Amino acid sequence: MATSGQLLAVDSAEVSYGPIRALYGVTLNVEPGEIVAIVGPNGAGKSTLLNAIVGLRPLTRGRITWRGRDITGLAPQQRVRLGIGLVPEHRRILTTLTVEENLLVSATALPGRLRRVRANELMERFEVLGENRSRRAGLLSGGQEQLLAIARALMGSPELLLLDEPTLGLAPIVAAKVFGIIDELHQNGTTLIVVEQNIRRVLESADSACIMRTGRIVERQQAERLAARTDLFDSFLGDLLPTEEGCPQRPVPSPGADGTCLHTERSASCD
Amino acid sequence: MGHAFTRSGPLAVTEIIQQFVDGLGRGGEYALIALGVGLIFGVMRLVNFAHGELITVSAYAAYGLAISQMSWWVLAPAIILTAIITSVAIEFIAFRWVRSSSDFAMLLTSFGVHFVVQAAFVMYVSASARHFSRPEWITTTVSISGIRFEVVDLSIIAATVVSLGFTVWVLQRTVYGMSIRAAAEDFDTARLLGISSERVIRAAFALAGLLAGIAALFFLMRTGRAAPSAGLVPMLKGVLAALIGGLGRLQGAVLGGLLLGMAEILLVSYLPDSIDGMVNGVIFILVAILFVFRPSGIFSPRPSQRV
Repeated sequence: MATSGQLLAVDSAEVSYGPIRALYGVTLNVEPGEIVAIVGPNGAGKSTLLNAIVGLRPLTRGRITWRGRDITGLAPQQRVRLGIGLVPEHRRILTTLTVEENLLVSATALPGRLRRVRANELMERFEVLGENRSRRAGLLSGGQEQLLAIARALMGSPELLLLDEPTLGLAPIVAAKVFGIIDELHQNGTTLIVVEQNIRRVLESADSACIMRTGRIVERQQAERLAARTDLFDSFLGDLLPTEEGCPQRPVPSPGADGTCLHTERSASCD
Repeated sequence: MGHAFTRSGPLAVTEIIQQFVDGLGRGGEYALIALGVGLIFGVMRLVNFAHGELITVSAYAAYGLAISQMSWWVLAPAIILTAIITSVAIEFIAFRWVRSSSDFAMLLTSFGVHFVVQAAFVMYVSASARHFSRPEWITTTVSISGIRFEVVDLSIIAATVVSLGFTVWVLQRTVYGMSIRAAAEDFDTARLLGISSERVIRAAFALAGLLAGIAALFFLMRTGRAAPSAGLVPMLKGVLAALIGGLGRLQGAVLGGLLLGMAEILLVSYLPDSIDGMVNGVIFILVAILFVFRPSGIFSPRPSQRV
């Protein structure tokens, strides 16, 4: 149950894709100003959880409260206006719109003039976006797209920012920049939930971390304590740790009777 | 659409210009309808077979006003306004409730709206067409450099250019328009950015209604006829034009409309008299051949998701 100081409370949330259940009674409480990392193998339900929080996936059971208010039935655009932003997996840039237009269509709650001011602020903050403001977003590089996805989510100055695999497919130098932005947002008081495959790095930034597996949060720990748990990494998350070449590996969803992933392959981000 | 220039005329160039203008006039009407079809497909993934009802309802509104001795200065805005209101009303009454259902459910709903509107006019007005007077200038021609043009064709071309210019301005320069384009590309992402799906869909239907209303205005000026099936052929041509251009591609819809208009005029001009009644059949066969080589139309749309 939500307590008065909580920003977000997910209570016994269940989500299904047709007959396939993706979340089983997930409960997650988030305090203002903290970074919560969500880690786990592919198919664990991490992205589904973020999509449920932002309203793209309806709950079949359970509820979500925002500052104590039940928002379970609200549409995504209503949740965005309350102060929840999502940087989606694969960025989902609007490729036929220009960089500036991508920003201007965000934060529709802002009056038009303020929206332009905010867009200009973000294009100054992320210089590469300002340099490409009239360019079609579909022509940006992966790193530029990710910055645009983050800037777009920041247009409405969200109190809670959800980031789904924000460094997926990015060169290490760009990934480092993204983590720099995450740390900066954290310092400025933004609350963040980050789904990330680069576990070691995200645990450096996070206050706490949830481990998800087969649609459940199986453990929540302070990030630094989790980072020290080599036994846990070896048995459960080891296949997601960076290899000697510095590349994380991705699990191939297959297998075990308990739903764990038994095989790994090199992450696309290393290519 | 009439031909002011006779096919036996001596100058091939003037004949080509004449046919070009005729084609633009006819294609302009199709482009206006196709643009509306494309807009609605963009935001709802719906091929709206009820789009022709905007013309049908507008036709009866025009008939009602015309028998009350209203002038075309009153009829013209009334036709456009009726199309806008009808478009938004159809979305509110019919499509809103099936929006989250399958594409097939929405398609069936659009057919349902088409048949319900048609049956309503048959039952409560008449199965036969009602006629009303056309503007006097509709058959007027003007001569430019020795070529005679019908005023209605030139009016349609001018109205189409202005309408398309306005539509481009709305889509490119206003946040509403950008929101429609965003929703047309990826509805879920648009919602994630805070864009209200209700407002975007309503705006798209209103804009589609405006464009259909302008097309209806010229269609009714030309025919002076209200019938339960008045919107059927224009709707089919509009859908065909949108398909030619690539469903969901707005510039493709315009191009598709113009190409369709041109093709019709050329076929009417050059098909032997014995088979010139088969123009529509030939058009559909040509479009089918186009789809063999370009299955998604001239401008292939990107895959995206509906609400």
